[in-house]
Amino acid sequence: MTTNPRTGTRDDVTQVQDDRADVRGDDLLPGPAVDARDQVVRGRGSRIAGVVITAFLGLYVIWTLVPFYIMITSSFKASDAAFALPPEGDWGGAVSQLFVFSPTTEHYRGLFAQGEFERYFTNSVVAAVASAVISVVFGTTAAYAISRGRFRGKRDLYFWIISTRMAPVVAVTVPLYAIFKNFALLNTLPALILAYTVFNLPFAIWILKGFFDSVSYEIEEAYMVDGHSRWQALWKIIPLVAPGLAAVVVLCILLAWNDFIFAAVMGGEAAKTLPVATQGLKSASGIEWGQIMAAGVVTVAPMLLLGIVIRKYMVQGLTMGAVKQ
Amino acid sequence: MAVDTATPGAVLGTPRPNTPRARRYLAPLLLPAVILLALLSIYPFVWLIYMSFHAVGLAPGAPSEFVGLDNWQRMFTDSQYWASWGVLARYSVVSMVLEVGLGTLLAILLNRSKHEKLLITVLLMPMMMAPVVAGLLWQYLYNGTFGWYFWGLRSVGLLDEGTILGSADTALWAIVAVDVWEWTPLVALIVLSGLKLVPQDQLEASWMDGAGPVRSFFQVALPSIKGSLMIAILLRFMDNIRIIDHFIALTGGGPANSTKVLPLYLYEQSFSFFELGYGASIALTLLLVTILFGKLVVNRFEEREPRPSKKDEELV
Amino acid sequence: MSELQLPPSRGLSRRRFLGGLAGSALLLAGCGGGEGSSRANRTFANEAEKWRQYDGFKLTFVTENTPPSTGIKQLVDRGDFKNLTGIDVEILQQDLPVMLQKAELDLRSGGTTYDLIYAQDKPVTSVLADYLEDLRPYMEDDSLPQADGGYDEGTWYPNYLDVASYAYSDRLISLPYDAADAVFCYRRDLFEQYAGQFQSEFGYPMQYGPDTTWKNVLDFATFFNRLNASDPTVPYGMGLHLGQFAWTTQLDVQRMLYSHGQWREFDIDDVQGSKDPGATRWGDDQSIRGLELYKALFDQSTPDALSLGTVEVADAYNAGKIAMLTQYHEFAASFEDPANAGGGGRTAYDVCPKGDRQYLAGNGELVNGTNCGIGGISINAAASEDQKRAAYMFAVWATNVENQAENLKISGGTPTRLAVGDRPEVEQAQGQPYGTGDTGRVGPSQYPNALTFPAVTVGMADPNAVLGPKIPKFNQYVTIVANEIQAMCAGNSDPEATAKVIQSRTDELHGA
Repeated sequence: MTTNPRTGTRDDVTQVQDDRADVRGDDLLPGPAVDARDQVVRGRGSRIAGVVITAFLGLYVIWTLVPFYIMITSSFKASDAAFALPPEGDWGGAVSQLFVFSPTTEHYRGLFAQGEFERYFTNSVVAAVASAVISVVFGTTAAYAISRGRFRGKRDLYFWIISTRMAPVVAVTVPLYAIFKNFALLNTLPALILAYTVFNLPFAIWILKGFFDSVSYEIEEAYMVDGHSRWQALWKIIPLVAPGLAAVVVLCILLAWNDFIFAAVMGGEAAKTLPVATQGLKSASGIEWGQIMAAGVVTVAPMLLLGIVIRKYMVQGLTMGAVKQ
Repeated sequence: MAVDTATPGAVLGTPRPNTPRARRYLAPLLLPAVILLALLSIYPFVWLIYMSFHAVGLAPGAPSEFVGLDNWQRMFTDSQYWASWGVLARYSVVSMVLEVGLGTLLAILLNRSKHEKLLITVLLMPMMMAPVVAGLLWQYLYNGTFGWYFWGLRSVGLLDEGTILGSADTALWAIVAVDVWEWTPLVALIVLSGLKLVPQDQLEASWMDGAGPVRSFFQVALPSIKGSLMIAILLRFMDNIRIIDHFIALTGGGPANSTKVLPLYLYEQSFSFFELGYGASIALTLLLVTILFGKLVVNRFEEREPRPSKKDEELV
Repeated sequence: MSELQLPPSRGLSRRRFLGGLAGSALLLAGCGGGEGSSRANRTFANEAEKWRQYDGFKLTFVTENTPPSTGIKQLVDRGDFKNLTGIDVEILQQDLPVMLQKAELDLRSGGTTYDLIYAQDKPVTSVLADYLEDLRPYMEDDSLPQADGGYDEGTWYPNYLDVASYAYSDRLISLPYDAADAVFCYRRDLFEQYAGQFQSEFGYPMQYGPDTTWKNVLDFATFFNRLNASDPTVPYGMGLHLGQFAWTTQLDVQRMLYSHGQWREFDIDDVQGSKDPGATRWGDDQSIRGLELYKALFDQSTPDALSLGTVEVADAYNAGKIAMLTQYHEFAASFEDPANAGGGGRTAYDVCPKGDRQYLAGNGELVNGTNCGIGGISINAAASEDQKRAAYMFAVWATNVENQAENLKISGGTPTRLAVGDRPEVEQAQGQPYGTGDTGRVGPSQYPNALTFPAVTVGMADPNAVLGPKIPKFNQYVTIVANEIQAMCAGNSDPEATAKVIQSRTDELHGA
C-alpha cells in the first residue's frame, strides 16, 4: 500500500516502482492483514454489530444478484404460462415458481435460428474490438508523449482530452450524425467504430499516461545509452505497461459493447449491435420476455467474463483513473 | 492501492526530454491521436454551433436555412426544456444521495470484511451490464403482469395502487432504483480506495478509545475520503447527463413527461422529430454544464500536482 | 361478405381515384413512364416473363415487427417471391418508433438504403409523404405485372385505401398491406355470469351490441370494479391504452371523441389531411366532455392503467385482470390462445361503443367511433427506376389476395383485401354474419383474427371510421395529446384544463 508520492507523506520511489511491477499479484485491494480486521470487530465484543454487518452485506449481495438470477432463469422458462405470477402474498407459490421449472433452450434457439443474431453478435465484436485497438494504438503513443514531454499548454491539452470523454452521448450524436451522413458512413460499422473512438481514445490516453508516468525514465535512458533509438526504447518499455494496455483494451471494449444510442441512431441494420437488437425484440403486438431475457444474457455474459479477467483494473478504469490499484 | 487525486499514475521525478531533439520524437507520437480526436470532437463541436443557428435540412437538395437566434429563443421559452432540467436535477440529486450513502456504508463494511475480494467481484457485476439491457430487465421486474418486483411490493403491501412505472409519482424513483443498483458499487469502490489511505492503526485506535464507529468515521475516516467522495459524486453527475439508456428502455420519458430528463428531451427533438437545429441548441447547453463539471473533476485530479514551474515551460 | 350491408363508400375518394388514373395516363403519355429503365414499355410473352424481368435484383423492405410482416417474411424466406421473380428481398423488422426513425433518416436525406417502406398511415405516411413514390403510373403500366383483384377502392376493406394511400395530394403513395383496427373485446363468460346482478343494480341488461354506448361501458366497468373491490378474482372493468407509445393513447381518446358528433381534432379533410392544419378543435366543449368521459373510464380501469400501453393491456387482459377493452383486431390471435387465463373462446368481439347523448355537446350524430392504423407498403421515390419497378412488383405481390390469405393462415395476419374474408374457410371462421342475432363473435377458430372481421367491416365503414388527422407534425402532436392525458389521469389537471393545454400546445406547434 502506497500513498501518492506527490503528497509526500511516505514511500519512496523504489517502493512505488515495486508496487507497479507487482501487477501480476491478484490482490485487488491490498490492505492490512485479514486477522487484524477481524480483531477490530471481535475485540469490541459486539457480536451484534458483526451480525448486523453480515446481514447488511448479505442483503446487498442479494439485491445485486436477484435481477441476474431472474434474468437467467426467465431466459430458460418456456411459455407465457411459466411467466405467470402466483397470487399476491402466496410466498410458497413464489418460491416454487422461481426455483422449480423445467428449463428449455427455446428462446436461445429462437434467437439464433430465426434471426440474424449471430450477425449482431459479430457486429458488436467487430465494432468494440476495432475501436479498442485504434484507441489503444494511438492512445499509447500519445500517452507516452504526454507523459515524457514537457510543453506549453499541456494542461489545456489534457483538459480537452478528458472533456471529450465526458461529453453527453446524445449531444455528440447530433453533429456526428450530420457529418457521417456527408461522408456516406451511416449504417456502417466504420461509423460506429469512429463514434466509439470519440470516447475510447481520450480514455485510453488518460489511463495509459498514468501507466507511463509510473515507469521510470531511467529505463529508457539506459536503452538509449545502449544505442537504441527512442522508438526502440518505447517499444522496450511496452512490456512494463502491458497490463495497463490489456486493461484499457477490455475497458474500451466494454464501453463500446454496451453502447445503445450510437448504434441505434447510426448503426442501421448493417451495423446492428446486440443492445439494439435486444431492445428491438419489443414490438407493438407483444413482448417476448423470455427472448429478451435470453438476448440480455447473451449480451452481458461476455462482459462478465472479461470483467473477471481484468477485475484488478476494472475499478481504475471505471473511475477514469481516479482510483487505482 | 492508492487514491491518486492528481493524474492517474504516480508521476516520478525523472528527467524529461526537454531538448528540441527530443521534441522531434514527441510530435509524431502525439499528433495522430490529437488529429483524430480533433476530427471527432472539435469538428462536430463547430457543426453543433452551426446547426444551432439553422433549421437543419437533411435532404441533399434542401440546405439548412439560417434562422438566427430562433432555436435559442425557442429554448428559453420552452417550458418543457426547463421542466426537463428539473427532472434531471431531481433524478441526479436523489440517486446521488442514495448512492453516496449506501456506497460509503458498503465501503466501510467491505474494508473490514474477510470476503472483500469475493464481494467486490459480485459488486462489479451490474456495472458490466449494458444500461439498455439493465433497463429492459428492470422493466420486466416492474411489469404489472409478469414482474417479480411488482409482485413482491404488492405482496408486502408497499404498493397499494398503480404500477411502479405507470405512476408519475413513482416512475422516476423506479429509475433511480435501477441507477442505484447499477452504480452504487462504483461509489463504494471509490470510497473504499479512499479508506485504504486511512492508516488502519489510526482507525483502530479511534475504535479502541471508545469513540464508536460513527464518531470514528467522522473524525478519522471522513476527512481522508472527502477527495474520493467528491470524485465519485462528480463522475455520477456527469454520467447522469451522459447516459439515458435506462430512460429509453424503461419509460421513454412518461408517464406525462415525469421522467423526461433533458438529454432524453434532446434525443426526442433530434431523432424522433428531427428538429436537429433545436436539438443542437439544447445539446450545447448540456455540453456547457458538462464541461463545467469536467473542469471540477480535473481540478480534483490535479489538485495536488505541483503546477509546472515557469522555468519548465520556458524551456519548451 | 356479400350479405353484409356496407354503408356507401366515400364517393369523393373514388372519383378522385379514377381521376388520378386518368391523370396518370396523361403522365405516361407525356414522359413514357419509365425513363431510365430499359425494361419499361417492353412487351412480354406472358405473365411469368413479366414477373421475371428483374431476376437477380435485390430489394430491402423496412417494416414493423408485427405478425403480418413476420408472415410475409416467412413467405419470402420459403422462396415464394424468389421463385416467382428471381428477386431477393431482405425484410428488416423493427419496433415502429425505431422503424420510423430509420426510414425517416434515410428518406429525408435522399438515401436509398430502403426500397420499400412500411408506411403506417399517420405516423409514417403523413410524415414522409413527399418522399414516397406515386404508384399510379405503375398501376397503368402494361409492362409490369398487376394484382388479380385490381386496386379499386371496393377491393379493400372499407376506407383502407383512403387511409393508407393518400396524404396532401392525389398521389397514390401506398398500397394497404396490413391493418390494426379498433374493435371492442369483452369477456362474454363474465357478462353472462353477472347478467342478473348487473340488471338488478343498474336496471338494464348487461349485453353488448352495436347500440351499446360509452356510458353503458362505463356502467359495466363500474360494476366490475365494485365486484373486484370485494372479490379480487373478478377482473377490473376497462382496459385503456396509456403506456409508452403516444400514438395509441391518441387513438384511444380519438375514437371516443369521434363517437360524439364525429368530433375531429382539426378542421381538415380526413383523407388528404393538410400540411397546414390551422387551429385545433381541442378546447371546445365536446373535447372537454370527451375527456370527462375518458377520465371517468380511467377511474374504473385497473389501478395500473397508466403503465399499460397497447401490448401491456393485452397482457393484462390475457392474465384475466381486465374484463373489457378496445383493442386492435390483430390481438384476437393472442386472446384466443387457450393457455391464457382470459382467453381461449371466452372473448367476444364487436364494433366499438357508440357515443352517448349524455356526453354529447351540441347535437351531432352518435356513431360507433372506430380508428385504425393501416400499414401501407410504399416505395422510396429516391430509388433508381428499375429498383422502383422491382419494388412495385413486391408491393403487388405482398398485397394480393392469395398472399394475404396465406399470411392470415400462417401468422395471424390482418388482410386488407375483402376477398380474403369471402373465402369459405375464412367466412366460416367469422361465425354469423354481422347484424343477425347475437353480434358478438366467439371462437375457437383456426383463423382467430377472422372473428373480428364482421366488426371491422362495420366499424371501419362510414359513418363510424375516423381516418385522420394526417399532418406533417403528427408525431409531435400525439406526444402532446398523450402527455397531457396521462397528466390528467394522474390527477394533475382536470379535463377542461387538459383540453385547453392540448389546444395551446398544438396551436403553438402549428403556429396557429
